[in-house]
Amino acid sequence: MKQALLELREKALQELKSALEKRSAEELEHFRVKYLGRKGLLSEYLSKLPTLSPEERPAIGKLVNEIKGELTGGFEEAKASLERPKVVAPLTDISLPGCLPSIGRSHPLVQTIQDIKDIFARMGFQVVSGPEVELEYFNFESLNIPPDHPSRDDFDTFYISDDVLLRSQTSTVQIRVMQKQKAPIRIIAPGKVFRPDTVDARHSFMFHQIEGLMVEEGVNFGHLKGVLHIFAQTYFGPDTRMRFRPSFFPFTEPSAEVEISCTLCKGHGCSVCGGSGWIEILGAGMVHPNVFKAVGYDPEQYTGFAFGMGVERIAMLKYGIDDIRLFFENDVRFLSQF
Amino acid sequence: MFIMKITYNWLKEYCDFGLTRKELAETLTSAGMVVAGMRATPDGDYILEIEITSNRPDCLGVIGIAREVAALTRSPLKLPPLEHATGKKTVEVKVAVEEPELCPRYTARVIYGVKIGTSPLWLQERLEAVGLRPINNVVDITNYVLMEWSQPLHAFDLDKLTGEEIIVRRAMAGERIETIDGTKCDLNPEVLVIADAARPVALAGVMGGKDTEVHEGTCNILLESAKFKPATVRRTAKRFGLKTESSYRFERGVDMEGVELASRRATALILQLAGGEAAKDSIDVGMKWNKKVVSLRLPRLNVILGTSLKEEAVGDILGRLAFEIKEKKEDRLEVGVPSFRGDVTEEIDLVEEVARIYGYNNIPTNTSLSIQVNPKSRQELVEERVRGLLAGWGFFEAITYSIVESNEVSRIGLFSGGEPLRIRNPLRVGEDCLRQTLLGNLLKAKRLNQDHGTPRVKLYELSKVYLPVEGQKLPIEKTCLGLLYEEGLSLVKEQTAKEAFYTVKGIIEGLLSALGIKGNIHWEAVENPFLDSAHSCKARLEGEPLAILGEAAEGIVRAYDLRSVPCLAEIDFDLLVEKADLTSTFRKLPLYPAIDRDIAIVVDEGVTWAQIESCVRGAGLEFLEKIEFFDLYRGKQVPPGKKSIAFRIHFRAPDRTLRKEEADSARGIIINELTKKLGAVVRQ
Ligand SMILES: [Zn+2]
Repeated sequence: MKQALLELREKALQELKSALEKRSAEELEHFRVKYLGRKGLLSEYLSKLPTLSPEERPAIGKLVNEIKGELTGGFEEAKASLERPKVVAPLTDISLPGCLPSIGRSHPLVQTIQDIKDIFARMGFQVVSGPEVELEYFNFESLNIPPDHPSRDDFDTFYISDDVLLRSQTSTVQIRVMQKQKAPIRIIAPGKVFRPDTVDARHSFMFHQIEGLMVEEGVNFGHLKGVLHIFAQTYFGPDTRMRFRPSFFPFTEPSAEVEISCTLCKGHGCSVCGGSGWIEILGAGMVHPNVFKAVGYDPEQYTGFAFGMGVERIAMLKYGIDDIRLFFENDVRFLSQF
Repeated sequence: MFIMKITYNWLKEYCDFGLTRKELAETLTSAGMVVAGMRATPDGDYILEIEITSNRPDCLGVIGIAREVAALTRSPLKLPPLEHATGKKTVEVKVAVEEPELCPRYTARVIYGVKIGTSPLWLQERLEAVGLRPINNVVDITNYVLMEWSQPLHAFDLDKLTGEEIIVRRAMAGERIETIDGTKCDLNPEVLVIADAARPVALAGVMGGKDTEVHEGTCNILLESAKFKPATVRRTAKRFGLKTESSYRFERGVDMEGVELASRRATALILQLAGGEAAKDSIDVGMKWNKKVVSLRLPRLNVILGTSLKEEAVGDILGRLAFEIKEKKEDRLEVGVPSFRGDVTEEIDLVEEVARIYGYNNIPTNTSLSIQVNPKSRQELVEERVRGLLAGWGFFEAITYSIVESNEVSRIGLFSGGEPLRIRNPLRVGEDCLRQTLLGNLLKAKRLNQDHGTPRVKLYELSKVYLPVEGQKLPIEKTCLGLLYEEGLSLVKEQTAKEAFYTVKGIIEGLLSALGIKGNIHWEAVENPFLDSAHSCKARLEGEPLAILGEAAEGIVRAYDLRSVPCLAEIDFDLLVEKADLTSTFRKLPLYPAIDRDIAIVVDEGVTWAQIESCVRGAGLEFLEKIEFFDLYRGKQVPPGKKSIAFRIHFRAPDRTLRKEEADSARGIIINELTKKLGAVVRQ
């Protein structure tokens, strides 16, 4: 009997559902009479209860009443629903854009400096800074560039007075740090530098450099290569190749110009690398003994290397930016891309 | 960096190197002479553009580059013939060098009876290929030899020289010379000149005089080849704005021996192409060149390079570069430096030469570093935290130029007002000031964004301003944080400027709180013509100026042609770094709940929140934990000249739950105080 009751329930619910879907008041009434009416099926079951054994009776009775309750509830609900005019409930349109308080960004150059700093910091380099308005001594003499030396031609400089200028390179910080601090030294010095270059897509009279310096007993050219390799492969990707070629800077010797395999064409040659497959990214070299002498270090005891890179150049490479002026216009359509 | 042009065939004359053009370019580049360009000439040759660093004046001639190629490829060097015939006549001119210090060597050869004419085609083509204009055979030959030996030469018309005399001396005040290019130079004793008996006839090392130049009718010539002190030539060239092929080379130092060799080479070519007869003698005044000897310690070389090069390898490299190993003592080589390598004066220069030829890329890369750890500095930590917060609050970071024009707005900032530092040699007239505020540039950036279709922006810059200090050479470089704030355009609601003012104030308070700065902040009115007087103020932290903020004044909005009114702030970032407390300390969470009571009062317009707050605090209530402002209202139900202020008070006891009656009674006391002291009326 229990089985029969359950099947009846199943059938009744289906009929209720169908009546509701068809929104048919007629079918709904038919349902009520058929199952819940005084002479309906459930009443019929109830009337049969006395014929059951006393053990069976309470359980079946309970079940009948439960089903009756359930069907009555369903019926009332369906009836109410049929009486209400049909409306579509408000739907959440999940395809609408999300709502977020607007967020800003750090400047792409700051992000670039941050990324580079992070890499060197993991190799134990400490971040330091120095003045942008500098004494000529720190920009030139102490860096082995005496007055009237022709290599001054390589460093056009803004002057404030005879011996005060806007630094044209961050190498000034090397000297300031070594004057104050004893070896061993590992520093990285990001900052602004200034050169009277006419502004165009490639040149700016103000730009950013990152200077690096490591001084320790026994540090050699191989370490310079090692540190820069680690940097390049961390920053530009593990496949990055690097090569060094001789160059000249008054404050380092041997001096090197450092190139990496083109980040765009992977060394096959493209317009970014001028078809060569290589891109110059920094200048470096072993600290010149005269620089050590200028800060009172014994060049026989200590060796060291220094390197300097242009932040704009690296950011332009990394992000594919083709005009340096964009960095200083501060158009939020540009700033929001990084 | 100097771009030296040579041609492939020309180079090949002096060194038979057996490399293709491409290989040649690669070889030179890898040795530090970057071949930046290569193009074909109409006659089937190739022009190479080579970047020569300023320490290698010897490579500003084809022979110098041929020497490098010979060393790099182990090919023999073939120098051009220097021998020439001589006639019976002698040199009649006397040469006196009065300033041997400024002119260490002066040679002169005389050629009688030359025929000035045009040069043969091959010579003209070579000169044109390397960017020189053919003039006449004698002048062309001096230029050709210049490009060959990197030794500047000058030919005088002998018959135009007065008194058969050449004097190398300082110019006298009042003397003048017109140079070949027509420049008229007023001379003084700082200028070294070549003079005849009567007047200066050339600016030493820079350019000859017009009066004595070789011309069509010239018959006899005096050929000068000399070495001048670099600094002297540099100053003369600079003084008269005459940067020439000659001055560039003299400034970097020419080859003491090359002076004579180039003179002989030029004489031979002149006889060949312009005829005439060389005097049987020649003049050579000055120091004898002594080969410089530099010691090179092999262990030192290997320490610097991280290599383990042996004596043979080092000796081989130096030999190929024409250095002479004079002596070997244990680990030490005594190395004779060839005359054309004036750049090599000490051991480290030899180390570089060895490394250069050995190949930087053959030096083993070493990534084993000792461990060294440095903590981040306060500066970095504070910068990172502030940048993170500002980005979160919707600000984009700007970077603007430190060099600005001087204008009214440059006085807007927290520290501006004094005379700015000025640049002597600005790129643009008027744009010569080192900024004293970041705000002018932020306003410009706002304008640019407005023009580019972004009507509202939130920008900040974290950079230096430069504040001159009386009696000090260097200014104070103060890092400031500049803010330009506007609520974004929203379809729903537009915030008024007044709210923007409070938002910016909130941002400053938020920064202080995030940096753990607990000192006493005092907000005060500020007189700043660039800020709206009703919505601007200044903050002091423990008495020191911390920030200025306010809505841009109408004048500014007009001056920058802004279509909306931004709120500006400038904050002393160095002070934030100094006062920041980035440590966090745990405080036990309260065990017992707080009870809140809201109070709304109507007070006169003149009553400030600061007064209300201090009045509440001054009531001496034991369990007062926090006072929270939440509403300011004017309008219906509030009489004119009054305002309604609502706030919430939190009471809490550390050791028990407060009873309602206690909170109510405290609220009553506060209301009493407010009524008594501030004339407040409670709104129920
Ligand atoms: Zn490429």
